[in-house]
Amino acid sequence: MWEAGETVIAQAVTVYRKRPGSLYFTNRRLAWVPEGGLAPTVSTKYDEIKVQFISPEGAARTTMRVAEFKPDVNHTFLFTSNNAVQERETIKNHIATVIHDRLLRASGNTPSANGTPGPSGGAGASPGASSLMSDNSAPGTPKTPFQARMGGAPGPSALRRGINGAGGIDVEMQTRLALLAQNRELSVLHTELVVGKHISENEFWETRKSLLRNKAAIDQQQKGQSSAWLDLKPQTGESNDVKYVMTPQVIHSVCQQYPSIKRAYDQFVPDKLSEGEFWKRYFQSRFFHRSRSGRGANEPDDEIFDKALEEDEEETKSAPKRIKLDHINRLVDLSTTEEDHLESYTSPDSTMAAGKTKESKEAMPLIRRFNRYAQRVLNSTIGPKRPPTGPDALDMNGVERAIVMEDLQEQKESSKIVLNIQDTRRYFESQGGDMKSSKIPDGVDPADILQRFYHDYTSHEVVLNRPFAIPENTFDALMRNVKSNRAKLLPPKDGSQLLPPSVYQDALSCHAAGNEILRHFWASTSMDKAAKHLRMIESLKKIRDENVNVLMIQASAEGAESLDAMKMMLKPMLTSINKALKHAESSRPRPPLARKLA
Amino acid sequence: MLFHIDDLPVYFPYERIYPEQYAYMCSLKQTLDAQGHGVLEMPSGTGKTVSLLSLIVSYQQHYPEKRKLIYCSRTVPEIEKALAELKRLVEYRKSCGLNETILGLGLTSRRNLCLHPSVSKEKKGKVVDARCHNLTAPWVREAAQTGQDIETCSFYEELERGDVRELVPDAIYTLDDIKELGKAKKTCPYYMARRLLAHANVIIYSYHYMLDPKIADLISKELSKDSIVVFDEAHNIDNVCIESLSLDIMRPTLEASSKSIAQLSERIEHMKQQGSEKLKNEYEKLVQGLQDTLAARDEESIMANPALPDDLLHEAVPGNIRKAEHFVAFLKRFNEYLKTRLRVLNVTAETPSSFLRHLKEITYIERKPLQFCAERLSLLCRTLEINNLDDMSSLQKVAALATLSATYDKGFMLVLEPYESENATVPNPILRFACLDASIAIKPVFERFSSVIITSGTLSPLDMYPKILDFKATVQESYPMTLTRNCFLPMVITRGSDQVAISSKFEVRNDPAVVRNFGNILIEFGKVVPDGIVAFFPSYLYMESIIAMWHEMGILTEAWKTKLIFVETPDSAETSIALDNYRRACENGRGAILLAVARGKVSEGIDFDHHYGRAVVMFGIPYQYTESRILKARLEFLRDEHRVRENDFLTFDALRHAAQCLGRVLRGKTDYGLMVFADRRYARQDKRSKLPKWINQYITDTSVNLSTDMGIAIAKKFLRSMAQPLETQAQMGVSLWTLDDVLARQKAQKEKLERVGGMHQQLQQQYGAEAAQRLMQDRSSGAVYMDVD
Repeated sequence: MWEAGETVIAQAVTVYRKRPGSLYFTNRRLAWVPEGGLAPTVSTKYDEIKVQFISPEGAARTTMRVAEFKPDVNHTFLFTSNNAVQERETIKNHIATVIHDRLLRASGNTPSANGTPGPSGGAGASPGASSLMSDNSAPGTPKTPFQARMGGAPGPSALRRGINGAGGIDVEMQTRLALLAQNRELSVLHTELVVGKHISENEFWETRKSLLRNKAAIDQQQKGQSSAWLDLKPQTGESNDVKYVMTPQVIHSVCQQYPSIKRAYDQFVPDKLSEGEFWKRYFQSRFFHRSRSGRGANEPDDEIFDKALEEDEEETKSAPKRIKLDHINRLVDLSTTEEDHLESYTSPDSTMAAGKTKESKEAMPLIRRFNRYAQRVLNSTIGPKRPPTGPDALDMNGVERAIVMEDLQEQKESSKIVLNIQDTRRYFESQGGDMKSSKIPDGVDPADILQRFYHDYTSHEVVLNRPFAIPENTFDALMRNVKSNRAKLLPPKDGSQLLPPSVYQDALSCHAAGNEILRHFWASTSMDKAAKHLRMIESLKKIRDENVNVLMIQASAEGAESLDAMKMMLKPMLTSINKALKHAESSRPRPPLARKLA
Repeated sequence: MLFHIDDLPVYFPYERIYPEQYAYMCSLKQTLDAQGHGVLEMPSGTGKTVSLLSLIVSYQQHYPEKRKLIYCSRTVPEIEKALAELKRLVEYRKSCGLNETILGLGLTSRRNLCLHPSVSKEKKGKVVDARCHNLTAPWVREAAQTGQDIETCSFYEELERGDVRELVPDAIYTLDDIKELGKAKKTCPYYMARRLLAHANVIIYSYHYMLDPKIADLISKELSKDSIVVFDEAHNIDNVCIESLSLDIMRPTLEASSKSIAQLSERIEHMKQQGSEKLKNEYEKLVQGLQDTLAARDEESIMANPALPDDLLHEAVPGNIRKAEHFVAFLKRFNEYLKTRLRVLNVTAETPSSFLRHLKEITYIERKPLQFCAERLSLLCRTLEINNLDDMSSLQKVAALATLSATYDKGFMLVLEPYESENATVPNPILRFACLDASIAIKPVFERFSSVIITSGTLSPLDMYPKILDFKATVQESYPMTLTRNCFLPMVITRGSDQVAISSKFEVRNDPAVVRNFGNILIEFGKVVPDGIVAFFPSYLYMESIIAMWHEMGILTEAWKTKLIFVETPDSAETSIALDNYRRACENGRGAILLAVARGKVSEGIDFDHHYGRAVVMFGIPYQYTESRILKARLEFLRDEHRVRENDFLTFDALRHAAQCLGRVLRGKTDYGLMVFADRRYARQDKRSKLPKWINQYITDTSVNLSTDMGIAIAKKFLRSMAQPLETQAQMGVSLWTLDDVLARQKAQKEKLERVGGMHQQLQQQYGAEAAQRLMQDRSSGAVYMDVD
């Protein structure tokens, strides 16, 4: 779970996003691990912590919120143990020290980090051929490096929100805002309904919980580590000096690719060597230059890297002696076959015997390095492979899955995922063009047409050796079609053409609002929601009497044709509203009426 | 579903069936009815195993003979899968209300089955065998019973105590099940399985257990004569046959066998001093010992061991090797002779008879005692109560050479190569005793068992196998693949985007332009193909050199950006880990590229279906190493004996491996994948015609001569259309049959046969009875079942 060299300084039992877990403060980062989880789901490097907020002492809930520099990234932790306040206090103090140190550094003072890896302090411009820059974050999960612009005072808005406390709601708020910003249709509806005070904010979101959940899940998903094979290319400066830039990303890649370098790094940095010094020596070492041609033996001896080189060569020279194969899928375990029968008394010819020629002696270490690097990248993303738990070895299911042919089994109706189109209006506009022209004339049953086509299709036989004649009635049908298409070329007029755009927009949003309220209305028919129900009735009435009237007046100002169009547009909604109100009238057990009477 | 083929009720454990499967079962039944041998090629991934098992088990249970099924496959995972299929099938039959007892089980090595707490920890099969032997040899157990403090195996002892048949209820046991059963009953699973073989209705094991005389003698000798033997994935069976009778001797082998010989004489001395009766008994037993073997063979209860032919058994063991010390001296002389042969520094090739002549000139060793060498050695080891048999393996090899070279003359060749490769300067001599005739090892199988079925996804051209294995096939069939949508797309890329032709031909294979173009194919496919890509190279050597070159050119750096890269290595454990990670990367959605070798371990028996392989690329044509002297000798043999032209055989061999690699991409008709042939030479008709029918059928003119960029464009389009959901409704009746479809087809076929019956009479009038019969057969095979008129 922890990176090499990482130690836990403080920890506390917390709830994060409604899940229980533990919050850790290590010598490198702040991390939160869910209960029973293996890897931190929240991992914030020291340098990423922008500011922290805590709930006031004595508040009902002991919470802490940590904001990152990345905009809109906040983590709120609810401390749940018995001495929650004290635990929070410890972590708070630690974080405070970190932020304080950074502020000092930013203002040019020498660092005095407690337990953090020694920062090399920006550009360690050395007089030699290579100079390097390095960031002081440890080689862990890659994060884009960010510049020293950090450390500013927390913004006022952040502070205000922080004081408002209660974390869970705050996070949800963020999600709502983000959703509204992304989804135009939703935002329009929101304005109409919530800002128009038809329903409350919470009611609006009540029916859209899945959207929120989905959004939160998307936000939480972390991007895996890039698999790119590191190709360190120097930047050439003006005066022909060569410069390698070491970002945490690059450092991480180097360590992934060469475990021996990582070991050396963990061993020497920062106690014995500064970070900058370490990488400087790396670029001068034989280790770095071995794969580059033309740089023979003129690199200086370097204890650290020569040892690392030796280790590296040793590791990749031959296949590891003892490999545990217990946990891998049995269907790919090649050793079972190899040891299934007596070994053959023959040896393969020279092209099939690997590792014999000079070239292949060079290639084999490379191949092994590839395999291991790929495995490390994979493990860093999805965690190392664990042996199947329980006696009902997962492997057997693997065999089952490998033999059963699904398409030979009786098909069950597969559950399809509904296509989610964000801006439906645009989609249907782009699709609608041809739909209109192919409208089925009244009085014709579509099923009939289908049936006829099907019949034609199945019963028609093509006799290839006879001249192919197109039947008369086909021509007629084609002709009719062409004619009717021609007639349709002049499109019928509807609201979008007749009404001025602004009025048309208003009509659309009024329509949407009406529908939304109708939904809420029907959803609140149960007794326990009587209050809401009443409010909905009011809203419906308001829409019917006020909003629609306003629109009608606007439309009539444009002429009779526009008014008709407007009536057409709003008719279905008005009908529904009337129906709803009628229902409300009739089914109400009339408590409000009774009150009125009283 | 349950349907009838002729009068045979066939239980098939699915609701639907592919037309290929139905046709395949019909052919199978024909073969079994005729008590003959069959060669059947069925498209990869269309459920060959399940069709095979369900027909044969139905057949077995329906007829009173209850012919035993011996199903031989290639790799342990494949055996495992076949066992799981069988288990599923038998469960299905039970659920259909059939009340029957079927005992089916698999067998694998001790290494894979052992339960002994310390022995099972060993990784090497040879070591496990030897350590097992140390614990279970009769003299060890005897000594333990007389109260000496000697370790035995409690699992084996437990097995010895009871009767196996009582211990094990009738059911289907996968390798895992048998191990679990052993655990539960505290008995040895390996020996339990071996003893059950005689009673089982269905046996599933590796085809080495049937073909390799070293093992077949132990395991398969008591299987009844009317058994049905199936070799699945048998496209490589000729090489297995050849390998099982070939051996290589190198200097270290001879050094080790010298040591073993010394050990043997020491042991003999030791026994003599103790005044043991054992050596004397052995001497007497020897005259009878082989007689016992002979008696068993006459009763046809033992499969003829090709290493020990009949005429040998009729003769007594020659006097000069009857006495233990004489035999050891004899071995020593032979071993020394081989040592002097290895000192020669020029290449020699000779027939066994000239080898024997030379041997006689130098050492006065006769042919007769040589023949008995292997048998005599194993007897001696038993008499001397030798533990740690793996120390003896080199000597066993030398003795095997003696026996084989003295027994066979035709179809074998001795080649001495002083240098490992052409460029080597330090001699590392190797004496190869090579079998050139694949039919020798498999001959006893064909002679003994009435129905032998050879089947695989790639057996084209079909007439090759009866030729090189020397048998007569009653039914010989290759099925096309019926598809509603073309779910695999074979394409031949002949040149790079820069129009430079690509080829793995020896002269150009290391040309940077070709290597770069190969690399570009990998990069570009890495960009467009989702999930897994598998790329095969013709040989390890070429793969290694091309990976080194790609790395220098920066091609791999480019490929790393889109996918993780895993590579097959010569070490099987290392490769297994890489494979497992490859699959995890595919499951995770990250996607990966696997680089492997066409004749390597990965190409055999590992499936790359669904997301585990959306594209398989074959870089070059996987020809064998044509400079190999053994191969040259074999080609000569094939030309002289079977009139197979050298080039035809080489191309046949290369293309069956290529097709085998590419065929692994598909399982079921809802799966989809790309098959990329990357070599200029695949565009030629003579190459393509040797691909299996079902692949060839879908190679279109538009996809046969592509440059990389054109290939990518086609691949993109293909992948996009394949990712759409597939409507099963469209497949029904065409590439997927329900029971109704089967019945309708049978009815139509019956009518047709009646019509054809009339025709038969007509033909008879025209050509006479015999010719008409033949004509009818030609017409009815395949065409009738698949409606391919």
